[in-house]
Amino acid sequence: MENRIADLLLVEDNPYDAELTLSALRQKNLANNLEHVEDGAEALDFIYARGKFESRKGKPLPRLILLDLKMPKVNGIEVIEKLKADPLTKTIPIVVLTSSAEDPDIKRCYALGVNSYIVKPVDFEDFIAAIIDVGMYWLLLNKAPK
Amino acid sequence: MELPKETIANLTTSRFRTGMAALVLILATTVLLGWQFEIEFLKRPLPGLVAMNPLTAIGFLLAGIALINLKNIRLLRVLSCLIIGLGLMKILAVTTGWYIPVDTTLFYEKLQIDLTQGVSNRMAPNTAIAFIFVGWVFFLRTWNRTPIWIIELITVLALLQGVLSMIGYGYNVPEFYGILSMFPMAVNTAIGFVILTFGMLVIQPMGPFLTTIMSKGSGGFMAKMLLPLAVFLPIAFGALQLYGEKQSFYSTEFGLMLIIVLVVMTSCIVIWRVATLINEKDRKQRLIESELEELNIHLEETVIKRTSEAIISRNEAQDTAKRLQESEKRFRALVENGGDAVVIVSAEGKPTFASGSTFGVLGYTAEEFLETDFSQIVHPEDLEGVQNSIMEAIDNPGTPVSGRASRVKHKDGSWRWLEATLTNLLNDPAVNGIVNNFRDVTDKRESEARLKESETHFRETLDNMLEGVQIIGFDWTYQYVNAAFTAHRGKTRKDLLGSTMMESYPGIENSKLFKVLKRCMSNRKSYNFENQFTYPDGEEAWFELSVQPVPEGVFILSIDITDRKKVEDELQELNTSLEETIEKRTSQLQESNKELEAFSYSVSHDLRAPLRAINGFSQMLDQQNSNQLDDNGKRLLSIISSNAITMGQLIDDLLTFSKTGRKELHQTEVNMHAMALEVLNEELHETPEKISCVNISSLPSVHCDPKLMKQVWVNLISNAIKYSSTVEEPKIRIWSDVEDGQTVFHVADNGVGFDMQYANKLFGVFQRLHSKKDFDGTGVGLALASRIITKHEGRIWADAELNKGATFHFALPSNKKREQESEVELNTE
Repeated sequence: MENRIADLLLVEDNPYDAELTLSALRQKNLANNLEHVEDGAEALDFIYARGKFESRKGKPLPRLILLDLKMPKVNGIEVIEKLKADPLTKTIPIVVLTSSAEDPDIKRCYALGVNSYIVKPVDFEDFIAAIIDVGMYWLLLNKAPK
Repeated sequence: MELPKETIANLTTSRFRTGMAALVLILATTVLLGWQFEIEFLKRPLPGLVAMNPLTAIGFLLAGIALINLKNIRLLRVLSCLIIGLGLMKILAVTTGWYIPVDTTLFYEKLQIDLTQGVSNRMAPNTAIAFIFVGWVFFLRTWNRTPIWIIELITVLALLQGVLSMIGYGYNVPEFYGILSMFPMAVNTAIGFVILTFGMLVIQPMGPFLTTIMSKGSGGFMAKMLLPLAVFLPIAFGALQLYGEKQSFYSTEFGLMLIIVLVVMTSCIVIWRVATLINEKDRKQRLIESELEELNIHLEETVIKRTSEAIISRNEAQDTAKRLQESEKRFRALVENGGDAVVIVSAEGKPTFASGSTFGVLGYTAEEFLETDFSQIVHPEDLEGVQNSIMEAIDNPGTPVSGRASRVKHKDGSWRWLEATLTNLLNDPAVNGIVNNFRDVTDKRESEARLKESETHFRETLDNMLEGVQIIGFDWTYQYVNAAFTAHRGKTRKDLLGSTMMESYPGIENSKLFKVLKRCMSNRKSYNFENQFTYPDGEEAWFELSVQPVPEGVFILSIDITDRKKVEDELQELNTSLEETIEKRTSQLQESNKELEAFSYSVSHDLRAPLRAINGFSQMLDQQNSNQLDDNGKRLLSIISSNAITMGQLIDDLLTFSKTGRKELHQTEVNMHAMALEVLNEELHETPEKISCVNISSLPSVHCDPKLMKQVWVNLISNAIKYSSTVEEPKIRIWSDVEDGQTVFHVADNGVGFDMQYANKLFGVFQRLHSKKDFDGTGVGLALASRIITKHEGRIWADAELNKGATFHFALPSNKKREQESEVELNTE
């Protein structure tokens, strides 16, 4: 399903977190056009339609990226840097969704230009609510640039 | 009343007078003798002439005596009365015709015999008148009130009588020497009167006539020259004329003219001659006068000079005399009142003089001392020494000999130490004895002894000091060195004392020490410095030197600081190594802190993920497979879920807790009131429970870390809300006050409170006084608050009553104190 149109890109290395997130999104039918990659490298491949995702060439960019920070190979910060440096991709809304509540990380992300930073709550209910809120807002409410 | 004494100047006149008187007396005496012995010649010089009456002779005698004895007033008066008397009586006899045979009493018979022209020799009336005049003059001489000119006049009248008679006899004109038909004055009587009146004229004081004639000036000179001429020339011319007339050479008229002419001529000649003489005299006089004036001036100068010299020398003499007097007084006073007693002893050893000051020294007055035997009051032990001194003094006359101090008994019985100086002045006539000066030196001896003691004491101190002491004289010689100095120096005290520094330690001139010493010697300032020194054996040492100026030169105190230096060096090394260690540790700590950061970061991040999974999936299970689960199953799932949540909370709290510990305080002025309100609103917003009453008093601002302080408020207020949530009407009160200079904040609730028994556990980590069942919480909140407050160097405590409520207090030190304390802690971020 590499050539599927994806509105939402979930970058999450932890499969359980990923499953929880997906489950939450499905509750609100926000997971229809969702692509899940497991590290920063794949995320970039996806965006730039290379490697595994070569077939995506010409396809529109996702309308939201849910990004975890702590990932192997290329971590979230690097992804943000890359995407925000590129004028083509810098307008894609990025919501950092991470367990890290560390101040420096938050600061850094905002400095780089992320749109939102959310700490993944341990409480599942809260987690679900947070995901739904994010999804609802960014995918439905927010007007993305064309 | 005495007549003016005759001066030496009048000796001439006096002699003349006396001479005249003598002549008169002789005349009178010879006449009397003539009468007595009938010597014709004596009675009358020329035969056929009248002889001098005996009474006349007696009158002359009286007058002669009077002329000589002018001093005896009484005699003079008597004589003058007698003379006047005899003259007066004759005149009376003549004028009244009474028979007063006064002039015939003496030699009555002889008179009867001797007749001249048939008449016996009576006193002539003009003689009597002349005698009256003479007697009158003598009388007036005794009576100083009469003007001299009158006396002189009368004398001259008497003289004229005589002169007239003489001229008469010379001219052979009887009318001159005889009045009427009375008896004429005898020629010798006339001569006698002339002589007598000459003598009388020069009686002092002389009348104006005589004074002028006798004066030494030109007038007198002229008078002396002219008067004889004025007298004799006319007489001569008269005689000439008479003779010519008698001889009928020429007529009376011719004769008169002749006289006039002769008189005029001779007068003119005489005047001319005299004038010339006077002029010459005057010229000479003027010359002499000018010379005299010069001489005078010179003389005056000399006189002035001599006078002033005389005055000066007189003043000097007076001064000297005065000074001498004062000096004598002074020396006397010194001797009497000085501190030393002065005793003069004769050659035999007996005291001949003792000064008043002896009393002060030995208590004996001068008189008492002279009675005292010295050897009795000298201490027996010192007696020999005293005697030796005396012998020495005797052997060395004039030289002062000082004796040793000896003990002498004071009058009051106490022994005094005396020092004496003996000088043998037996050869000095002014002293004629051995002078013994002695003084009380008891006090001096005592103070000397004390000084010696003190000096010994100090010397010993210096000798025994551990520190080295040197005293260097201005000539760079060692005046004193103590044992501590000479030890290790390879030289003994004997070597050093007296020799210069340069001699003992050649090359020392180049040392720093020498330079400092030189400076100290010149500017007399103290110096302190450290100096390295190499011992003769090569060992090196450090000394701290203190260089001080002292009257003898320079005082050097050297303290061996080799050990100290060693310790200092060691300390320095230690410090350096310590600093290195600290740096190492600091970096180590920083490292470890970083590691800790990283650790806690990963802990928080990585631990949370599985927790999330546990929680999430169990929830999912509950939702998605609820129909397959019974109630128990559902219950089990919820337990799993809640535990996971708890664990997550714990992790968060722990992380926060550890972070707070590492954090640096960023202090600023914080409005506690605003902060508390903010926190309250946030907390109330989060919790659904309604608090019926919240009371916040005005809270002051304090200096603290706002982030951390907010944490404290969050903890305390959330606790207050939590633990009062079970009460009907939860009330929260927040206020503050000042206690002991600290600002104390209080948060009180009316909730469940806690058991004060366990109050000490309140602030422990993970310590809870309530079960999780009743009240949620990890037990970290208060520990966190406590940690923060402690970091601010404040105090936090609480008190409560079960089911009544709890009040939490925290105190922060006052701003001033806080500012003073340093806030820098290790930055571990």
